[in-house]
Amino acid sequence: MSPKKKIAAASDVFTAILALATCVSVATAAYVAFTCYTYYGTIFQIVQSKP
Amino acid sequence: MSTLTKILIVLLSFASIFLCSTAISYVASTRNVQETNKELKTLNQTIQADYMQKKNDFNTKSAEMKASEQQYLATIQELEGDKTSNAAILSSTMREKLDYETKYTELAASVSGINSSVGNLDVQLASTRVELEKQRNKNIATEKYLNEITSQLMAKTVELEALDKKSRRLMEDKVALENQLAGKDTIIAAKVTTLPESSANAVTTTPAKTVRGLVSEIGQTLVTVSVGSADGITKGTVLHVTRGDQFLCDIAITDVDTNKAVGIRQLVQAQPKIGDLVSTEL
Repeated sequence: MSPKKKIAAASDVFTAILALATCVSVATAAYVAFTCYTYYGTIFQIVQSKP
Repeated sequence: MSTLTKILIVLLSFASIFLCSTAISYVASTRNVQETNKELKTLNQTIQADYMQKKNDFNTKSAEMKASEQQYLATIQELEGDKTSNAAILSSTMREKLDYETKYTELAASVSGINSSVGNLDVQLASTRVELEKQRNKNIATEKYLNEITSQLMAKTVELEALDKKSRRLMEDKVALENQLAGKDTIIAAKVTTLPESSANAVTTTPAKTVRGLVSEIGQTLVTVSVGSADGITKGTVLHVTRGDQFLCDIAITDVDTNKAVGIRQLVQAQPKIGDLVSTEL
């Protein structure tokens, strides 16, 4: 068994870029979900027009 | 970390950011479909209500239009009847107009004939007036001539009466002289001395004193005065008729009564009237 090696980031800059991209994606998903729920009352169901 | 890994990290990060921004912008630009649907439903209901109201109004207006059409048709029929009656009245009026025009033409012709007749009558009247004036002048001249002749005749008559009286007296004197020749010389002298006085009285027909009276009656040729034999008027006496200071004519007395006398006008300057003054002296 090899001893546990501490994983360290190779570059903080690229790590920050990935973190930013992840945050933006999560915020976008949250905004879209909120908007869909606000407009249609559901997130995943396709809305049909009532007669 | 290899270079390829770095490139992939950067590209993936930017791509994810780009896609997220695109998704956000798309979602932000979409509309609220439910509210739009509700608005459209509400608008649809409003439009439907308006449509029904308009339809009801249309039906009401159609009914009113039909009623109005019926009324108008009835009115048109009445007007057609009036038109027919008016056409009949117009035709009769035109005939009456033609009749009146004919009568007017006839009356105008009659009036023109009457006017021409009146003009001819006016001309005849003027000529008749001229002839009448001539006849009046002739009558006046004739009357003057007659008056002169009458005055001369009266004078001659008076002279003849005086001569008759003188002749009778002469005859009486002759008889008296013949009687005196039989022996009465004194009576002859007396008769001879009275002869001139009686003859003078016979010729002089004017009374000794001035006699005044009034014209009491006027006839065609004779004039009656209010003095007679009681005032000393005798046949042949000439009275002067005056009105104020105007001399009118003379009256030669032809018949004498006690209180009136009748005579003939002479030297007529103006026609006397009842009440004019007569006198033996002017």
